[in-house]
Amino acid sequence: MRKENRGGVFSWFDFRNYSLERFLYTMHRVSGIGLVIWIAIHTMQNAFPKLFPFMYGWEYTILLLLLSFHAANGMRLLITELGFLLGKTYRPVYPYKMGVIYGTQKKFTIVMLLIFFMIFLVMFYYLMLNMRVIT
Amino acid sequence: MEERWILFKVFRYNPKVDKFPHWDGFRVKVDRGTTVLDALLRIKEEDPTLAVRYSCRQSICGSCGMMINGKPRLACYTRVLSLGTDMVEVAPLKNFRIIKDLVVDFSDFFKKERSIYPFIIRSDAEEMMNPTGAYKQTEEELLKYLEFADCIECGCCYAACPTTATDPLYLGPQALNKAYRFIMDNRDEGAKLRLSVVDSDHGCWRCHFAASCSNVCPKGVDPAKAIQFLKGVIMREKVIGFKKEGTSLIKMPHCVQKEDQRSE
Amino acid sequence: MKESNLMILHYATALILIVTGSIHLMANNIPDIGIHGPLYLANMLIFVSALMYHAMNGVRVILIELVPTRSRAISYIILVIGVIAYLYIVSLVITLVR
Repeated sequence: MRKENRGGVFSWFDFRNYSLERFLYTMHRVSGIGLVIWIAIHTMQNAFPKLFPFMYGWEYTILLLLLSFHAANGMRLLITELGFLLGKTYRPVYPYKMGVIYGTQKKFTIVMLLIFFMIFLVMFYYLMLNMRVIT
Repeated sequence: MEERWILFKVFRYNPKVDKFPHWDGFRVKVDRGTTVLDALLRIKEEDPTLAVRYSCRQSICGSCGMMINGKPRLACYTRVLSLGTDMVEVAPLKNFRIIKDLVVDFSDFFKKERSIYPFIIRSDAEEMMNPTGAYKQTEEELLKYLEFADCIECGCCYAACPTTATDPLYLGPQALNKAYRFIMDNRDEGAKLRLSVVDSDHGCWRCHFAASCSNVCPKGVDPAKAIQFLKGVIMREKVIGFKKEGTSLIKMPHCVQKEDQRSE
Repeated sequence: MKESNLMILHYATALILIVTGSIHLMANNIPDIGIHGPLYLANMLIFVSALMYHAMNGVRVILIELVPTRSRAISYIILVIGVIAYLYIVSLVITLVR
């Protein structure tokens, strides 16, 4: 990799100098891998309940965080990758606005992040109810 | 005039001689108009072995792309004092093979661009060989692709993309942007050919909309938007079919060179 | 299969997952919702099918970006692992819900 001067896997996590969408891409990958591991653990917990005991509650909090983020960002990706809500094409005039990270797509992203928070809060409420933390 | 001394940390590597790269430090006096390219040329006066690519120094040729403070930018387009730091780190463009110091190898990049046929493809060969007029294109049809035609092929988007960082076979945002520009041009009839190249294992589906390419493009070209539109075109083609309104020829007999006027 | 067909299925299973997944979570956590018996089982089966496809395709995309020269081998290995895991999970679901 050094001979080719490529960033490698570490550049997937290097979002310091870029916009919000790069950070969301990293989080989508991390939450996706986290959910795959979670499925494996959940299957083992259901198949062999004595070997892998249920920790009623706390593993579900992690699930809810990963799942609500992955679902909300996934809905945003589904709509934009079909070509909708991206903004219009125009004649570029100096000073150039940095493209699709302004305008319609950005507003849609903010709306999706708010939806993520709301889904997470609703599910968290029911989880706390079931864990008898609140009644 | 406000003048300051800035420390430049420059990446040095000569693969024929060195085993490992190293960084050299130079102090350069800059004022508010000095660009990174100006500073590098002053450094070159001190150390003539530094290898730098540059040509127009007005951000239209695309030669001087490099990683400045960790982000791919054009050296002639970036003012040193606008970076806001006392130390400026200059490194060669990422995801390209290094030839020497700040000069990188673009041959792979251009090979990928050639693979998507970056020219107008039409079936009327007689008209293409001996033109008798111009092809009609309205303002709306022009605006569909004009923004994506401004690309100067500097390679900054390719350096910023997270997919090219791990996948050497990925076409890259520049090639996909060019493919979309030609597919949406109403004078072009080669959409099916290009879509079969783009819709492959390492084509437009390996893009995950991180939008870093549009973030760093110095000409406002927006390759991220082009790639998402391209995915939309592929999906639409499967469901309702992708039909393009062609174009018609406007005959211009006053412009055509007559036989007897051609000099032998 | 062409890459765009695989991605159409990826998007379709994503939509199916949102619907069936919320039904699964609501059935397990919200008290007094009348989803049990054959309705629950049918929902679980659709959910598990869509989930296995979506997860395996996601893992395949990440692996292809990491090892780009071996994309065919990766696709076949993921297919085999996916089918085996799917059959195991479906048998587990059927025995547990009965």
